[in-house]
Amino acid sequence: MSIDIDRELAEKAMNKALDSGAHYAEARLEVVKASSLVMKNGNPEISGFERTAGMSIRVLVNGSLGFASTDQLAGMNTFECAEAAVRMAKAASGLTKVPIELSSEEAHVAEYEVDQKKRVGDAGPEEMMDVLKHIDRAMVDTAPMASRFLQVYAEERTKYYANSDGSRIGSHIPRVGMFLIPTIMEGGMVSQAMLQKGVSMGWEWADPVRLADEIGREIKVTYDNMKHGVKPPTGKIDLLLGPEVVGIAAHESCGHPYEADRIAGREAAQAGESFIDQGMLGTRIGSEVATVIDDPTIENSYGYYLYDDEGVKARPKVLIKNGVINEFLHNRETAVEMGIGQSNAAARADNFNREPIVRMSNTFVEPGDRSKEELFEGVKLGVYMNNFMEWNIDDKRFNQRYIGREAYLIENGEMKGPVKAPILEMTTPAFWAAIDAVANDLDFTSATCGKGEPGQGVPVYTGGPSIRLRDVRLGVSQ
Amino acid sequence: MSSWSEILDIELPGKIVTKALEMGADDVICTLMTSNVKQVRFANNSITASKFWAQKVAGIFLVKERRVVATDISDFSTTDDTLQDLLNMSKVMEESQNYKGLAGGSFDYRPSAPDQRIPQLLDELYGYVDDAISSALDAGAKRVAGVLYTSAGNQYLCSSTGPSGDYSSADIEISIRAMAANEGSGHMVQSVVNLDDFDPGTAGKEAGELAARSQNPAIGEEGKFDVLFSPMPFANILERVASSSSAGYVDAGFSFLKDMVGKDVASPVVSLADDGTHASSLNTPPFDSEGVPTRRTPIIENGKLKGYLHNTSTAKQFGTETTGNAGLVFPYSWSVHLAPGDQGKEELISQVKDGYYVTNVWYTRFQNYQTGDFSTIPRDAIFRIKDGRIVGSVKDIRISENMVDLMRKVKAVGNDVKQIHWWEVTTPVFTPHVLVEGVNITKSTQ
Repeated sequence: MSIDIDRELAEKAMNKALDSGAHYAEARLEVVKASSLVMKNGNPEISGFERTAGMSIRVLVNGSLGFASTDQLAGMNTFECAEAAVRMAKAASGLTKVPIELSSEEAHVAEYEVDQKKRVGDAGPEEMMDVLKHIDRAMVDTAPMASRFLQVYAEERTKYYANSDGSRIGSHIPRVGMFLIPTIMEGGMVSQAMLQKGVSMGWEWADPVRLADEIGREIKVTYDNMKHGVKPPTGKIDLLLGPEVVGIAAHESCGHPYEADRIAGREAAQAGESFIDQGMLGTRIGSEVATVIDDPTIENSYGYYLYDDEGVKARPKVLIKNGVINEFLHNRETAVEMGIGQSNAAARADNFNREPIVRMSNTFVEPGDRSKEELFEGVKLGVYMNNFMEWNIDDKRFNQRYIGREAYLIENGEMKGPVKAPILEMTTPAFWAAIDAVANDLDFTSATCGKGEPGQGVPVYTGGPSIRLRDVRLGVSQ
Repeated sequence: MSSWSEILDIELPGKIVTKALEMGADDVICTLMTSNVKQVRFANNSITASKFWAQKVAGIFLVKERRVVATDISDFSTTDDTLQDLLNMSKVMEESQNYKGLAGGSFDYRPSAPDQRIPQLLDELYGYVDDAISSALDAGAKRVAGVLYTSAGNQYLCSSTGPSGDYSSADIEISIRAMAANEGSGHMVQSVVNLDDFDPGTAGKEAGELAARSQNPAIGEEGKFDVLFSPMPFANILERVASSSSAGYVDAGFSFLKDMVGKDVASPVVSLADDGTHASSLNTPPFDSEGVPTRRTPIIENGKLKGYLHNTSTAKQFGTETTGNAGLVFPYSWSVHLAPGDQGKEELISQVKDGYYVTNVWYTRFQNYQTGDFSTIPRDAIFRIKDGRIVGSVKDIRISENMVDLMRKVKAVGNDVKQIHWWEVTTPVFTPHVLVEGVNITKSTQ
């Protein structure tokens, strides 16, 4: 593994924190090498790269948690950073009315990395331009475009984590992705898509021809929907959701409300709390076919990691098991607070200068064994919503809304023409309870999940197979 | 240059620009930012984390034969290699048709005078938090969560086309959310640049009062209602209006104000400006990212869109002058100001026959940036108003609207301007209460 960072800095800073009065200390050293290219309306706007290195120290002093970071690793800066973390924790001790404890965890000494057939560091503006030009051409050739905003990026993140419990973990993870906002306009009608793709692997993922084909399809279905879409039916229908919509629901309507720090109120002033409480563990929230999993260990996934940012070994978490609330997402702090003993490795920080907090990784509905086509059978009147545009959910994760971008009418078991902007606006328990069938076409979408203060965007997969909801009433537009 | 790390901060951008020009760059801007930030987070009436960040980072924007490249650098021992890599990158980049040069000349900048007491605070921060929590509990809250920040920083800019300057800033702010029994909650923020104006106890008290008053909410009704927005939720709306006025956003398809200059995009009672000079704002740098002095720029006057926010390149593209809002790629607003009216909050409530009073929103998401179709979710205290009086609290509603339609339906603007800046509103927005007619309210179908 090529980890070109001075691990001794982390060791010394951690020891400095302990010498300064910390009862527990951890250091996280990260080096990021990244590059990106932005193209707007076919014009190459700007190309850039980033080479950052920094370290954070997190300490516990008498039940108070202190955190400090620096992007200056030379000289005494890292020692001063360690002292600052301890100083902040000591200053808070009088008002820390609920002492903070971290769960006792097995110490791990480990190294891991993601193989790259073509290193992302070798992807320069020419390669990035080639990808975006192919995609831009696919857009222009497929539909009348009002504007195109395209960004491609690639990064390699080298990380070294050390804590005073004995864990020492090195990792090297490449990530490649893109973010696109194409706007189609014709005859006074406007339609827009917001598309994101991303993986944890080398530049070999960025095949221009394949990506252009995939994006061209998105443009085509969006254009067809804009031109030919009809109003969705009113009254109760059956609603089939494609993997992208199922994925956002798994993330927003299961993953977030099962974050133990939300449940405990730690995020109350920012991303909110949860309608779920600890007493609901073991109670039914969905139908028998609804199982939701968060698994950071999926190879090459956007949310991939094998050890979290508290040094705990990652494993899949079954959040909903056959409709029953089974497990929450924990870090070492909430594991103690909720009395479950040990973390399940959900602590993530998006950079060296951020505190690790409870996060999702790759959250998805477990697939069943039926084909997607079988889900259409028996539907007299329904809508198939394959993906979405606008979405939001309240801060307790109880009322959600997803509006379809590509959607079709279903009549007597057959998919018909496009339906414009169907609105799923319903409560979370009603959503999980309405699922009566789950297909086998598991697929993932890449996303950046926001949480924390200062805000942290972590890469995640959202996913699932196609699912069917029975007797659902669509929402009304403005 | 053998020892970049030893150069004084104030000299570093100039030396980097000079070196880049010697190496063959055509246009270069270097901006060095140094900052110290402290944060105290609290939840369930207790401190949950205390944090300190030290940062020193330079942004380098370099153009060679109209090929635009950029990077950030924090390890200054690598400056020579970084500049060479930027130039190498420019050779394989293609020409940008949208790059039309940087602002030239030399300017006298407004002097900055940050409150030097703010970066010295440490133990006092915990007293402020204690004051805020106690005040919220005294007002009826059971649980209190939030965050307190102090920020202090310096910025140094040098452009190869002439502009050069520096400034310092400092601010302190608190965001506090109070939860009462029976689903009541209220949220309040306070952001100031002068420590004498900082009053966390009042912020806590107001959040606690909202929480206590909003207990036992009923499920809200859907339909068209008049909605009185307090400053927190309307700042969320206005931040989106201001970002849509960036010429870069217009060009990229992110704006519902495209092709709307000179047209009615809001009610005649709405006048909105961007102001980079406002003394109380958290974000009033004397110069923009090209070194152009910041200024006050009207966005909407009496309901009509006056123009967009520009840097030099977008101004040339749109056939106008820069407004001092660079962003080197996208122009952006400094702080957003809605001109106040002359009515107080109670007077506005008295005008509502059948509607809602919304005190916070979050998760504003667009179906389509260009059409402006969006929804946002009221959270914390939501009150039902009937016949000019608050008659109870509600929950579980969503505002599902179009931005331009909403701005055109503004009926009255209050007189109680407040600066809003928090997790959901990242550009400072100065707004009073605002009354909007016929707002579309939706809710879950089941």
